[in-house]
Amino acid sequence: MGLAVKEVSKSFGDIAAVRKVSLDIPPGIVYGLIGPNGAGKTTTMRMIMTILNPDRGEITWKGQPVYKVASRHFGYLPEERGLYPNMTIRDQLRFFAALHGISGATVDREIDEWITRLDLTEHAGKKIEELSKGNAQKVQFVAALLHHPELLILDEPFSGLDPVNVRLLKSALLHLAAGGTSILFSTHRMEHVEELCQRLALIRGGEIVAEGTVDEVRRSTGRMFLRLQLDCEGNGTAACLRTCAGLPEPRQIPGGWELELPAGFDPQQVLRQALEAGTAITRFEVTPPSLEDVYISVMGGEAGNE
Amino acid sequence: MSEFKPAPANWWVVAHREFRQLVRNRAYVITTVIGLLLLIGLSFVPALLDYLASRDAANPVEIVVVTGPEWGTEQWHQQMLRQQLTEALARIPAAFRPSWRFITPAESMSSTVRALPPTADWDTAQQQLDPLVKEGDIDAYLWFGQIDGSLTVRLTRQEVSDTEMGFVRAIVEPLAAARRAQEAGLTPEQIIALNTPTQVEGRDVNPRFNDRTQVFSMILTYFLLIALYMAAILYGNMIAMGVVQEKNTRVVEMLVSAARPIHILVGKVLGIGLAGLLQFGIWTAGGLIVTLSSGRLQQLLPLEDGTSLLAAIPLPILLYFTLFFLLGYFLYAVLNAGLASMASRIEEMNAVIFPSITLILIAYFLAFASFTRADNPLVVIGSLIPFFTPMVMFSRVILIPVPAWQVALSVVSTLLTILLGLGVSARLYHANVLRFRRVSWKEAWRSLRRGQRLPGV
Repeated sequence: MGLAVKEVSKSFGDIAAVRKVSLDIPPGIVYGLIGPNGAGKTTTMRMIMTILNPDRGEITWKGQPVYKVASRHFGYLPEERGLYPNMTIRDQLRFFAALHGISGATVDREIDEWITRLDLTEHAGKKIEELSKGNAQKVQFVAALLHHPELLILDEPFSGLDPVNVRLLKSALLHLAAGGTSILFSTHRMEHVEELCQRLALIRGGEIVAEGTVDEVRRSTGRMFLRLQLDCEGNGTAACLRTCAGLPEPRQIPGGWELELPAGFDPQQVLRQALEAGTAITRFEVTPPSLEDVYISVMGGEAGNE
Repeated sequence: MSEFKPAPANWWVVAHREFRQLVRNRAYVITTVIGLLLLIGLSFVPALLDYLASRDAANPVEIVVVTGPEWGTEQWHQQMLRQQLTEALARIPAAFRPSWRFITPAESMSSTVRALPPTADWDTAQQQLDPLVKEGDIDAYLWFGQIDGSLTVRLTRQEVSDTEMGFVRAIVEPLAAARRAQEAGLTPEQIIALNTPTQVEGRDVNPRFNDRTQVFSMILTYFLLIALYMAAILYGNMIAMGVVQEKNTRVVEMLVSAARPIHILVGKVLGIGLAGLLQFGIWTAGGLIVTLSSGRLQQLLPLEDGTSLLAAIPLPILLYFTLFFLLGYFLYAVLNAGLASMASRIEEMNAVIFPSITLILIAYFLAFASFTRADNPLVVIGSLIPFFTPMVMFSRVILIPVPAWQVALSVVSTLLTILLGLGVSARLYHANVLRFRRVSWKEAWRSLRRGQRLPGV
C-alpha cells in the first residue's frame, strides 16, 4: 500500500480546484499526473504535502494520514521555484536536510555526490542569487530529496530546463526510482511520461479522466488506429484501401499510412482482403492512439489555456 | 542510509538559520558597531561638558562696572558696588551661574578703561567703551546711573542674550532696592530685614525616592522605554521582512512542506530574538565597560562613595527591563509574523503590519503619559492591556509602587496573549502564505474564521 488519495475535494471560494479526486499510487513506482495548467495538479500535490487541507476526503501513505508522515518521508519540489537567494548551495542544502530531520557528515557527503551528479561542481560555493535559473532548479531538486523521502513529489520538474539538464534530471529520477523511491510528478510533456512513468492519471478541470498504465490510458478511449503500408499492383496504400468498404480516408505518416478504425470494424478484414488480392503487406499495425492523441482528445478545448 | 544523524527539532533549525543569517548580515553588524560607538561616545559627553565648563570657569567674562556721577564719585563706591555684585552672583546656584567676573575700571587690562574718570555719565561711558567692546578689547561693561531721573542699569556686550539679562536683573534688583531704601532713609537693619529672602520649600511625602533618585529613575526609564520601543519596531520589522521575503522568493513553499507553520513562526521569532538579545547584550556590556573604566558613572549617579555600579542601577529595574523586553519583543514579533504573511512584496509590508505598529505607538505614548502622572487611570488601564503592558507597566512599575497582583496579572495575560497570538498568526500564515499577492483584510478575517482547525496547523 502506497499513497491513497480518496475522494478528495478542494475549493477556493467559488472555484472547485479539485473534485473527488482518487489516486492509488503503489510504492516504488514513477507516477505521472498529467493535465493542462489549472487542472488541479498543484492543488492535489499541495494537499498530499499537507500544505493545503482538503475540504473533503482523506489522503494516507502506507495507511497513515499524510500529516503524520509528510514532513519526514515526503520530498517536494514546488512549481513555484525559490530558495534563499543569499545562502550558498551547501548551506541551503544542509538547512533543508535538517528541516526534514537529518544532519551530519553523511548528509554532507551526499550533498557532494548530488552536486557532482547534477553537474553543479563549479558552482558549489556560490550563492543561489549567482546561479542561473536552471542550476537553481537543480539545487532545489536536491533539497527535496536529501532526506531520502519514500515519496518524492515533483511539480513540473522539467519546465525551464535545457535539454542537457532535462537528461540529467531524468537519469537522476531513474536512479532514485531504481533505489526504491516512489515518485509522483506532474507535467504536460508526453515524451517525459512515456519514458519515465509506470502509471499515470489524466486530470482535467479538477477531475481524473483517465488512470492506469501508459498502455491502459492509451486504450481507455476505445479508439484504435491502423497503420499500414501496402502495395497492390503498383497502386499506393490509399488506393488499395478504397477497395475496402467502410474505411475512412487514410493519412500519410512516416513509414506508411494511418487511419482510425470505425467502431466495430475488424482490422483482420483488411488483412484478409489484402491477402486475397495478392497485395504485398510491408507494414500492418493495430494500435491505440498515442498518449499525446489521447491527451488532446481528452483535454479538448482546455488544451488551449496553457 | 540509517547513518543519518537526527537533526534538532525543525523550529530550532529555522531559528538557527535566522540567527546565523542575521548576525552575518552587513546591516546588522553595522548597526551593532554604530550603536556601540554611539554609546561609548555618549559616555564621554559628561566629561566633555565638564571640560567645557572648566574652560569657561578659567576664562570668565570680565564685566567692567562703570558708574554715573549719581552713584558716588569716590573710587570705593565703585569697589563696593563691584563687591556687592560679586556677592549677588555667588548666591546664584553653581549649576546655573554664568561664568562672570565683575571688575572696576582700575582693575582692567585695558589702559583706555583704566584712564576713565572715576565716574562717567552714559554719554561718556558709551563714547569711550563701546568701541572697546566692539573691538573685543574688553568683554562687557555694566553701567549704573540715572537717566531721566530713574535708576538705570545697562549691560553692553557684542551680543546680549535674554538669559544674561535675566541674570543681570536677578543680581541688580536687590542692590537697586537697597539703594532706594537707603535714599528713602531706612536704617541698615531695616534694609537687611527688607532684603531677607523668603524661604520657599517643597516637601515630598513619598519616602521611596529622594530628589536625585527620582530624577535618575525617570531618566533611566526614559532611555529604557526608548530601547523597548526600538526593539519592538526594529526586530518586529525584521520578522515581517523575513516572512515577506520568503514569500517573495517563493522559498516558503519548501518551508511549509517540511515544517508546520507554527514551528516556522516559533523558529523565526526565536532566531531573530536571539540575535536582537545579542545586539542589546553587546551594547549594554560595551556601555557598562566604558562607563566603569572611565569612572564617570560615580559622578553621574547618586552614589555614595564606594558603592558599586550594580547597586547604582537598581537590580529590580534591570530585571523588569529584561522581562518586559522579552514580553514586548515576543508579542509584537508574533503579531508581525502573522500579519506579514498577508503581503507578497516588501512594498506591501508596512500596509499589513500597520495594526501592530499602531499598538506599539499607543503603548509608547501611554508609557510617556505615565511620566506626568503614573496613576493616571488611562495609564493604569493601559498597563493591564496585554498589547500595552510591556511598555506601560514597565514605566509604571519603576516610577511608582504598583500592587503586585497588577504586575502579575499583566505579565500572565501578556504571556497568554503571546500564546494565543502565536496560534492566530500560525493560522493566518498557513492560510495566506501561498497567496502570492496582497491579501485583503476581509479575506484574512474569513480565513481565520473559517477555522481550518486541522492537524497540519
